Amino acid sequence: MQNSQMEAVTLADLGPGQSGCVVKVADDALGHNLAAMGLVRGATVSLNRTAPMGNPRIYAIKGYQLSLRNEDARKVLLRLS
Amino acid sequence: MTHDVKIKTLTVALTGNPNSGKTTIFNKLANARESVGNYPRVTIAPRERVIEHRGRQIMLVDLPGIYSLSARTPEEQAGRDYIHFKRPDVVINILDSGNLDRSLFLTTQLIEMGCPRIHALNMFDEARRKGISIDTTALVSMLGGPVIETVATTGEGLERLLDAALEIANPATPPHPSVSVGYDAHLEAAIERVRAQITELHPQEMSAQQSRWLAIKLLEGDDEILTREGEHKELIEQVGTERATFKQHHDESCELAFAAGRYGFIHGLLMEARTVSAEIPDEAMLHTRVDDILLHRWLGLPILLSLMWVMFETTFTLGAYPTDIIKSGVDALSGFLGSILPDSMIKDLLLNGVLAGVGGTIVFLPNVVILFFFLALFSETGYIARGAFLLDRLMHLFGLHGKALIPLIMGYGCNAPAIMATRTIEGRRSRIITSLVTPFMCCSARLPVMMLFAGAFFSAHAGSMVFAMYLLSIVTALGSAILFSKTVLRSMPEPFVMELPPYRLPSIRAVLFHMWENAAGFLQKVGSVILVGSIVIWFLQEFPREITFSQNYDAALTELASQPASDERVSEEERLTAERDREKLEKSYLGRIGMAVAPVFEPMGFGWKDTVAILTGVVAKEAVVASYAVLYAQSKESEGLMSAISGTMNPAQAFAFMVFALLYLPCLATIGAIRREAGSWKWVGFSVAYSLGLAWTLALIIVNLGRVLL
Repeated sequence: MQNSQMEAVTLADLGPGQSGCVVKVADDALGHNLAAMGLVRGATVSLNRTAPMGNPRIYAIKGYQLSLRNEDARKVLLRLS
Repeated sequence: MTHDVKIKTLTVALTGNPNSGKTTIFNKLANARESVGNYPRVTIAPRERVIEHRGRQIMLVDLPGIYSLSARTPEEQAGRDYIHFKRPDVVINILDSGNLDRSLFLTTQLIEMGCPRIHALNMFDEARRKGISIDTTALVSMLGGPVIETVATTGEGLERLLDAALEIANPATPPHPSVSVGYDAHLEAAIERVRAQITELHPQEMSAQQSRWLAIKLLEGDDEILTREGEHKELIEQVGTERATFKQHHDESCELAFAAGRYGFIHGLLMEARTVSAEIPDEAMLHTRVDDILLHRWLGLPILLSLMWVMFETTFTLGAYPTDIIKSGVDALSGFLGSILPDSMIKDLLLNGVLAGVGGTIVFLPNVVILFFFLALFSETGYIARGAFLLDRLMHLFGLHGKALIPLIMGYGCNAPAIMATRTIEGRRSRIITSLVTPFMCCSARLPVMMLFAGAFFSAHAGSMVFAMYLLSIVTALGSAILFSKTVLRSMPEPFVMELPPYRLPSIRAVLFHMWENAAGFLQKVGSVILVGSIVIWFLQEFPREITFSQNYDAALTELASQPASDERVSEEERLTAERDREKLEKSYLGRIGMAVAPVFEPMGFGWKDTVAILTGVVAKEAVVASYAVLYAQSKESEGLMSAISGTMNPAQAFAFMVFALLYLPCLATIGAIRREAGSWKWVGFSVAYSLGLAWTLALIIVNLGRVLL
């Protein structure tokens, strides 16, 4: 636990080709919505693509592609893998 | 099958994620056989159709595509309420076989609701190509209901789907052993405690499954269920304590724990029932390559713009050929009727009222059909979602949501369904802004007006003028969105959570169906509103029959006729006849109405005929052209409508009229849609006042600029 806390980054910090494991999702309406879309604790997620102006970005999660704005992706804490 | 089962119509609801092929299945099932009844989509209620299968009537209900039953968006709410309150006999849960992980999330909620279910593993062929194999027998016992492999586009498995529905609804069939989604020990303990309390409050009212579902919903903090149980203070209190304790101990809310639990259940289930081949199939590689180009950081947006341009260009250039054919057909019919019918009021009504109005509008059918072909193509392939992704940042600058692209593009087809499409946008504020600005999109009904004026006044640059109108419509929509988001609808930015569906080759059938549906809608409008409108306008301009003219034209003409023939005589005769016709029109009921309202448009120099066309356009925008067609039918019968109106305005006025016609008032159907989506008449009033004011002001500015510059 101690170790994972130290390396925790948000989904928005994920670099091209990097992937991570979801540690925590914000406890608000958006967080609940993201959880329903598959961003739950323990899920693996990777960055696929970035839009023309650097935002939004497309992530691969649960075998499909999900597009999120960077400000919304900050709601998801990751441990890099 | 017992007798009493036969009498009742079976209700079968289709539910599933967006892009799961739900609507394709619905259309396939509904159209492959004779439909017994057809109910148009009303308000937020789902699409329904009664079909017959093996002698049994089945009412199919197409629920909106949703990811969850948590009632966070209006669509989720509609879906959940339908299943919970209407209690359909069977729910068909359509799953995307290539994306079971997420598709099954909704299924876990259906399992908990305990409704009789059938699971359709749709797009089974696509999953197989992806190297996915699924053990359906294992799934049947784990999901607690039949599992049927289907391919919506080819119709494979759909018969078996209906067979299974009949079987499950038959009381003689033994029920499937019920399954439940298990959560971790702490959650389960909390569920049990709440359930015990529920059983105490509602003794013998609920099955074990129902009380478990209620307990889970309460623990998930479902507002609506909490309100419904509001009378039971002790229950609400207990739930509140359970939720708080859980969060304290686990550093995670109940909502998130339930979501994680559901995905855990799905993970375990798929570990057993699914095998995925390790190698990446060619198709997936191809999709990635296509996205590399279409979503390219520099090329993505230029490609999007080019595709839009190709769409409009093709709509006009390709549409011109069939339009000419229809036009000559209408002319031929008009000529034929003119030669065989004796001169009478009926003949006049038929030729100058009905044929002029209906014929003048119907010539635009090819343009409408081609436009809808492209819209269907973009949405069927999955490109529209990519457009939303590419444009989100840009749209964000205008206070809009990337997903607003979908209603805005659809608005080029028809505003009313486009406004319904705003439901996919998460935030209420974004939704209202989008509903308010979508009516500025130049819909296919306004296209005829634009083409008529562009052709009549700017014939050398007609195509560019129409394209300019399209640009103006999007600029106005975006500009108004900024204004609204900075003033009347200011609040926090809202999230953008969107799935990018895999590319799919559009089925020709689906595209043709979409085109046909919209062409039929257009023809229906021409056959109803336009037909009636043309007749009404004709009557209003023909009556009253007795008019006191300012001078005795007939006497003057008779006197002229007795003079020796000369060029002067001919021109004088023409002048007198035209003068008489003009006065007759002006003194007709229509003329009087037009004259009464005309002062509003006086500053722009629009005449009363233009005023009448504007007024009729409020009912349906196609009526503008139909009105012109009827109004000018008599005066210049041999020449086309375009040349008839070409002399009536200067270019600046014509341009001002196009802008006015583009922006003023949403039509009645659109007003109804705004009322539904924005939720109050207040926003309808705002929309009407804003668009009228804007249209009037812009038109005035253009006319005055024209005066200075020309």
